[in-house]
Amino acid sequence: MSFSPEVLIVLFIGVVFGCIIGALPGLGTCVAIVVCLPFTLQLEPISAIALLMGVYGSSIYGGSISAVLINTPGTPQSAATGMDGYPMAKKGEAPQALGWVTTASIVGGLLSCIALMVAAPQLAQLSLKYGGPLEITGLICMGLACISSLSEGNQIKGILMGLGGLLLATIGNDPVSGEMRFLFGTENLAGGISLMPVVIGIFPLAEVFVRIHELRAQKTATPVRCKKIIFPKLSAWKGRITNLFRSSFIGIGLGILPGVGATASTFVSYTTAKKLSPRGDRFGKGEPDGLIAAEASNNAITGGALIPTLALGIPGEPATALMLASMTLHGIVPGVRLMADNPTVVYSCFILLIIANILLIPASYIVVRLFGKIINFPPPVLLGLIVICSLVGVYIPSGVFFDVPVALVIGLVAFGMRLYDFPITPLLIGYVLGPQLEFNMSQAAIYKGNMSLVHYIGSSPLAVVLFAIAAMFLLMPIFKSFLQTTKK
Amino acid sequence: MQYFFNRNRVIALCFMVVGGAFLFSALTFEPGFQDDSLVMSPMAYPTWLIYAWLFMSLIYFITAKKPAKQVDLSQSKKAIVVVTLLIGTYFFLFPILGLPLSSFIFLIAFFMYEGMRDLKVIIPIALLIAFLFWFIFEALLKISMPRGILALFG
Amino acid sequence: MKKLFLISIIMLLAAGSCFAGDYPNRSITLVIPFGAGGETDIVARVLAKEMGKVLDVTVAPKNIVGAAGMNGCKAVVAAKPDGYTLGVIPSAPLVMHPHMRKLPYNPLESFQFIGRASYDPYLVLVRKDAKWNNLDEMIADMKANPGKYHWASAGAGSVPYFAGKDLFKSFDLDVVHVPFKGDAGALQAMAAKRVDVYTTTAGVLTKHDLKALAILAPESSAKLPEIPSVTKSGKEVFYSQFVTLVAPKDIPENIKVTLEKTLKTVTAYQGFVSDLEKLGMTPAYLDADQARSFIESEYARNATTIKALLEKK
Repeated sequence: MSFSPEVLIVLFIGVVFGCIIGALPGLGTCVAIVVCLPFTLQLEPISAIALLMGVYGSSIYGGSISAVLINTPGTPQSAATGMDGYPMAKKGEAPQALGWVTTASIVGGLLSCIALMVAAPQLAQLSLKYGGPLEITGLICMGLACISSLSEGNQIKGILMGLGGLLLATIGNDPVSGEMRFLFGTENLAGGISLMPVVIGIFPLAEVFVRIHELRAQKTATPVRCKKIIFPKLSAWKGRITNLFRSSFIGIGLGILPGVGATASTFVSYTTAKKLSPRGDRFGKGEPDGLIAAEASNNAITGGALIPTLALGIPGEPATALMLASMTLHGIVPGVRLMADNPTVVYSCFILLIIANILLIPASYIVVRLFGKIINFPPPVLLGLIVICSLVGVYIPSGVFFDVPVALVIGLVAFGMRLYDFPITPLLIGYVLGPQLEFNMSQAAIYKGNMSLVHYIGSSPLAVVLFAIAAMFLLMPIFKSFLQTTKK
Repeated sequence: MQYFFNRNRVIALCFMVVGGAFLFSALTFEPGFQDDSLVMSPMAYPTWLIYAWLFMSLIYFITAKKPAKQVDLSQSKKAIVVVTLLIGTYFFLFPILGLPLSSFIFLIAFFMYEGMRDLKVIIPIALLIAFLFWFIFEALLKISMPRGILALFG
Repeated sequence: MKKLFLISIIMLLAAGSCFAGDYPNRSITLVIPFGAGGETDIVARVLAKEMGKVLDVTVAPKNIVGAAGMNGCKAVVAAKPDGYTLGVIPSAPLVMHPHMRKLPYNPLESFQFIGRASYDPYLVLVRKDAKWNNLDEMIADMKANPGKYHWASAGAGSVPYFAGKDLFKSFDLDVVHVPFKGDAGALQAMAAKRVDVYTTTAGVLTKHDLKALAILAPESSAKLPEIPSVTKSGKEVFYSQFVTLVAPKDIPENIKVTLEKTLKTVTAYQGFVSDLEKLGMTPAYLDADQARSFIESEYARNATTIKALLEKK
């Protein structure tokens, strides 16, 4: 099995390109992959796979760069990274933050590659067995319950935002019956409010408004300067290694369950780390533990998501669906027979992903230097750039112009929320997980049939565990604040 | 009365109004077609959400204290409105004028409003950025964008 | 200063415009009403690539997603009928959705059909290790065990949904319907034994451990002669997936003819045929008029079946 230089060059281009697109606020994995499509159809199979893998993993990483430097995560998966990354950057520790982010990403990605290599078929079978609607509902509840912990001190507002996100996701056509809901008289909402306007409204556009406000209201805005990446010393890792590995495994574990996705896994990992880390109280103020938790799981998902794609022929996300389509067109048929018929392809995928993760290091140097210069542009130029990227980022994935004004409205609302101290991430979590929750609940209801609810839930031990953890995530922080207020 | 209605309470009331609108839409919903095999009706899940939302809004209203941090919008209000209008106009012009032209106009207007007045500086920058985006997305990556009135030229 | 401003405006205008000439003289947009990576999307992209070669311009695929294809269809209907915006539309939005809910356009009247590119009848699929070896066995087992088995659809309103509903209603069987989001979810559930039956095109046979019990067409297909038609078990349940190339109504006749010829060339071209085969689909060209009568007959046939299926009990 040989790798022509062309493959490696394509891989490197893919990694850098994905990184840049992911880092531009407003663009993200969706745009990056859509943009690559025409090229993948023309390249040789291995090169096409190389391009897609490179872009997929690095665009997630790129999103984290802009989350740390500008507080505008390029993809929803990077939202958790910004929660500790941006505060660190504001404290002047941007290079160190990026160092943590990069290392955690690479380790997470490599660990998921190893999982892929060692246990793809077994993990695939696991995803089949435990991917039932009840278990996934439990998983999603767990993801949603993180809201309570993420909005500590502000739970009522946090829960309201989460519910708001869930409700927002119901506008448009029902995932189960196809019926149109909450159109409020306009056909334009028939498709619902797509993901990109929400992500772009909440992060880049709201950030633009916040900065305009800050430029006028405060005389000095805290500058973020970043000339390069400073990798954490080995001694800094003491006490953090468990976090690193645990977060990676959460990413792999949730990545193999198709559809539940990236965003849920990063928040579950972040919340778990917050509860289990001795420095849990500093989360949200610039604690590297938070960065590690978010980033490791976020990149570990890439390997995890590939497992059902390659081993079962079932793609978990749009990006892997495209990979699947590209492979099919080149005569490579993923699925149960892939290992037998085409072992070279399978091993190539593994190795390409490993190299792609390692290539993140040189790519990160290039991209960080580039963005370090960009954030030094005078504010009007930087903000203008963000607005244009936002427009492009909303329009390209869906092609529907209506999404653009929706993004602006959401941006204004999000700006209002940030001013009035409403946590934004619960809205995102509710919105992203909403459709899946409803869909899986409906399916679970069908399978439940006439069984009693207790009997049905009890029939799956994994579901019981997931719901229990969800309840814990949800109730513990509420309980804690309640205790604190009564103490006073 | 003044002590009863603080900022948080007002927001809670707004939330309840929005929730009410959704509730109305949910309760007056008539499915186009209903499949009995789909155990949950299309409005079942949203209705639960709306009730939860209204419930939380009520709790918010009841427990809301006067906010500790005052938000001072006095200096930035005008700027926010103007920037919103600028961005809104830009978005509106995008399908009419196409990406490079509308971006250029937006950037010039935005730069000038934000205090960068030196035309010799801002025109090349705006031109470069607008051109860069057009080049990368439309020419290089061949993603089709609205042509608007430009279609008249060709 | 003013000159500089003026020059820059002109440059930018030029960047977006082009010169006049014969059709086609600039890139064509091919609207795809579904998401990137899906079945329709890939066929459309292959089509775009080949059409671009024949017409010697760039044919740029553009995904306009949402509302089960409605957004994309709306975009094509509203586009300028100058031949530079075309659409690739599969069967469901054309012949099935109009019977389910009111659409803001009428597929038969709002489009000019250029032609049909592919046609694949549906198969009744079960797991390879299932105990049934033909359709009659499955029907007998299901009759004896009402409510025990589950069938998958790709979502309410999709072709597999109607195919399954029609199938089980025709044979008077009580099988529990479980909706999924598209093929991927349904196939995963099949593999995980959460559902027992699914209907879709033959493309999945190579990729997954499935076997076909019957084909939902009047006769067995030439490619899979050993699969009996559903008529052998006594009922007529016909469903298929086809992909058409459409343009907005009222495009000039000469442009329509050019596009028709292009489609004909492309669908006959060996590269296209083999690409489609890899996806498990079959090229099946029909020109504009034939495509229209085909679609109209499918529309009428579905009108009766779907109305019957959706009757509230």
